[in-house]
Amino acid sequence: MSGAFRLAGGRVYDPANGVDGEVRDVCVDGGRIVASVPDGAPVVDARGMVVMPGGVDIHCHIAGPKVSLGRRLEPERRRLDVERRRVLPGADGPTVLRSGTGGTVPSTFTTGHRYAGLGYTTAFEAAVPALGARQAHQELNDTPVIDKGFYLLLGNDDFLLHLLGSGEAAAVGDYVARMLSAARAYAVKVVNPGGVAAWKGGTAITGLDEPVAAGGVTPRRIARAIADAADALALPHPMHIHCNNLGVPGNAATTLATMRALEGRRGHFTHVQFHSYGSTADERPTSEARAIIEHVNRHPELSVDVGQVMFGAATAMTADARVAQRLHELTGHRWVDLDVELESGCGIVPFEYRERNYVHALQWAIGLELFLLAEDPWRVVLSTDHPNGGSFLSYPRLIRLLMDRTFRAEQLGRVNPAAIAGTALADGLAREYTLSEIAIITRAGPARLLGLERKGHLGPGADADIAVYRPDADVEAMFAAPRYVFKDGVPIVEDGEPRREAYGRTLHVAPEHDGAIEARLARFLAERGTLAPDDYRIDDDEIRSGERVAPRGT
Amino acid sequence: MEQVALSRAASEAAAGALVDGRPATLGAAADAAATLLLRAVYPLVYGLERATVEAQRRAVEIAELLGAAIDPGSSAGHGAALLAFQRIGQVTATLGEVRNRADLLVFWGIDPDAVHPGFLARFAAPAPGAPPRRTLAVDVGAARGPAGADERLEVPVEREFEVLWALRARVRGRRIEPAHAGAAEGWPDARLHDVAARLLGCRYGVIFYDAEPPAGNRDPMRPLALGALAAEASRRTRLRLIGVRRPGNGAGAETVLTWQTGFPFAVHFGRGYPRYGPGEFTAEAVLARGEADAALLVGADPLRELSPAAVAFLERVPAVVVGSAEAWAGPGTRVRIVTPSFEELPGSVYRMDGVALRRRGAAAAAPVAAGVPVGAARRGAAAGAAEPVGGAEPADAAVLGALVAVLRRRLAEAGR
Repeated sequence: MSGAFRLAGGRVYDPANGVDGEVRDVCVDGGRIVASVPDGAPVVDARGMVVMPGGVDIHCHIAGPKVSLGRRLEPERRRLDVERRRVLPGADGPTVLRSGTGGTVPSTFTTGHRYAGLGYTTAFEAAVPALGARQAHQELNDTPVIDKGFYLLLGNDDFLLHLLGSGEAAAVGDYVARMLSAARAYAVKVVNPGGVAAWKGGTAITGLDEPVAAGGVTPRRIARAIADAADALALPHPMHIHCNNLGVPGNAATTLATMRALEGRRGHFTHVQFHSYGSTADERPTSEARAIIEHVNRHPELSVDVGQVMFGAATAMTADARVAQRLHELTGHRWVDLDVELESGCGIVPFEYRERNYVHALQWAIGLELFLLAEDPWRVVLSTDHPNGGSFLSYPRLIRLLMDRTFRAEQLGRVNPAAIAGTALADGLAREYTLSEIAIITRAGPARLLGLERKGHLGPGADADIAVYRPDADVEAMFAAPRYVFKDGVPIVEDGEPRREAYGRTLHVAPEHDGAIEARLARFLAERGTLAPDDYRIDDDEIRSGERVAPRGT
Repeated sequence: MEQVALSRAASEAAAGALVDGRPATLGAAADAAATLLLRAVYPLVYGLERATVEAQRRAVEIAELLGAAIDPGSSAGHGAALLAFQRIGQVTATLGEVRNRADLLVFWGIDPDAVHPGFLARFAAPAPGAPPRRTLAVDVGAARGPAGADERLEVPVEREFEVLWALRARVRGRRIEPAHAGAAEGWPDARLHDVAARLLGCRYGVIFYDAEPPAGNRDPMRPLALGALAAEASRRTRLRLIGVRRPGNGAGAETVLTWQTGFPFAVHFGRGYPRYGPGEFTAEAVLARGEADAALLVGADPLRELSPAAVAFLERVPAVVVGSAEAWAGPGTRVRIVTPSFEELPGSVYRMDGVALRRRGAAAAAPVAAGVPVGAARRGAAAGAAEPVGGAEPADAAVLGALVAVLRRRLAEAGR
């Protein structure tokens, strides 16, 4: 909780409130933005600076069993990328920054500190199985500064498939509500609906209408049922879906079919770059970015995050275990594959994207096409699917690629030219994102899509999560080292240096549900599982500081 | 005498504390412990396998505060598996997949019931709709699989690695010339071919192995060879490797260390950040070199894991011991803080397959070992147990919390 102060004279980008580079003061009191503060309140001089709400990462992998398996897998990538323990003096007494290590999957304390160091103040772990919820919360508890939460994996879980297969669509809502509440999760995540379950059973499915479980359960039915449940429960964020056939040449058809399958229901299609491929006759990938983004442009009920590939080190970590297996077979790299009983799986493979590699360059180009051809920045969010497409530390560079077409052209000249030839970049896409649009795709847009009313904007009542940047012709440098970062009105970072340690809140939903589902779940687990429903339930005191987010419309 | 403000939980946590053999308050014990540990040049934080996750988190923080080495006791037995993981990854499953999917169970030199009574009934009992299955016990010297397996094979102890590596080659479709194989007795190429075919012929096979073997049976290459075999076969079918671990929370310690530092064991904070040294910073290495000049033992069982030489050295090291009344405490112990035994502590523990569980309430009449589902234990205890004590830290975490508070204050006063 902060005292009152005035952030004075900055150029404010607050697109949610229609403020586009206006020079004005931002007033803070009690950890929130307020309309005004007394004349004598302390002043922080922001003249000449760019002021934005803190960044919101709608999709990253920062906590839970698969993330720590990824940490453990690559000691050599983190050995030399260290963060020391630091004691920070402060007016209210010293605070301590715990030490850690980095690489593509930083340890928890380092993760929070590095997000804050970029001016990001909220981030969501995108995929946790119910069995892993406890570990995800324990790791989020040790992730400082940012407000956070996670999405719960559903759509390959045996119980849900059984409900759908036996025609009990009505119980799906109760089940989804129960699982979200018990896990203290924020939203529903669907990965390769039905496909992970089929893969564990030895079958690779390729189409929306292939049966994946008894009773005619198909990916189409699963996606629709979960999208319905998310709407019926008025969840703040719609179904967050990773489509079938990730990475497969020709998968744009699957993506479009899935979008159409929703028939007007809301849906957020994640890391859509990996789902935007056409195919040559001999199954080499091509770009179908235009078809995908034009569909998104025309369908206001849909949103996406791009999942941009950035050259350099990455770690593939996904609940879509088949994808990781393919990467392992392609590269021979180390491979983790973990089947999670009754619900899911995960695969992890260390990776690297190279400019001269045809496929990697094509992926990079497709991501940029999606950004540059998007008409509504409110529904096309910046992401790299950290660490799958690249580290979140590459966000400033990605921003520069979007804002600076000269820089973009230079980078284009370095990548495999054959990959660019078939994309819209070859036609010289000249668009440059404005600072306002950047503020939308990194802050205002994701906050709105997540239903976070106090995030992503600087109007009265918002959390005082504020990033202040020194303008620079090199916008990568600008966004990589904020002048100030405030979290709940407290200065956390100043000129790239941490000033104070603080811990944010774990945001979760707790939708109401019929208690009858509990007994059914108990019977199911007794027959098929190794644990009781209680073992899948997180207590409030297991979360350092939780905040329940109400259903939409309340 | 410095006063230490303690939480009520911490005050109630310790069943007793001794400083230099004389009864003391928890506050005085924490003070004395801090003095002892801060004076050291090379402190070692050790044990953790009989501690809750809540305590393990505190222990890592203490190691960072002290610039200490920290190593879970379980790493002596499990280290080879951790190193294998870092070299090749792992193809595995949580235990419930066994019940639902497995049509082939291979027990490689382990009878899980011998480590966890009732394990097979609990975790391997086929669920409704599970496929018919076969079990194969591979006896490696004296390390034998379950008695009731459908089939048995024998592998000579000294040829275990060669047999596994040759099996892997066979699974890949390669033959090994007998002259190169150092042919293992009883393992001609025809038998390798048959076993490989069995592994590839299953739809969902599971290999159980002893992931925390006792000293004397710790082949450093075994987890690597088994892991490589499972990964090789998994190109064509599903063959998962599941390590059976000792009772305790070694998995928790490794997981806490991993998320907080990036490394699962053998960590040193001497430079103010985590450094990883599997050959250098394990407790065994630190003690065997005679380097540690103070030790904090938390839920430790040194006799089970350390070599006699390391134990002999540890006995002479000034030590703080936090653990149950039965916990080992050598002659060098200056501060002793007694907590309830591990099995009685509410708090979070990790199952051997990495699943995080929570023991709620003033717990169990039934001992809860890693691998025995908490639900089962609690159902037994619930009948007569008191209401769950939501919000209270487990005692071992509360004790370490008191120590953290003293250490932070002393370091702040010293400008560190």
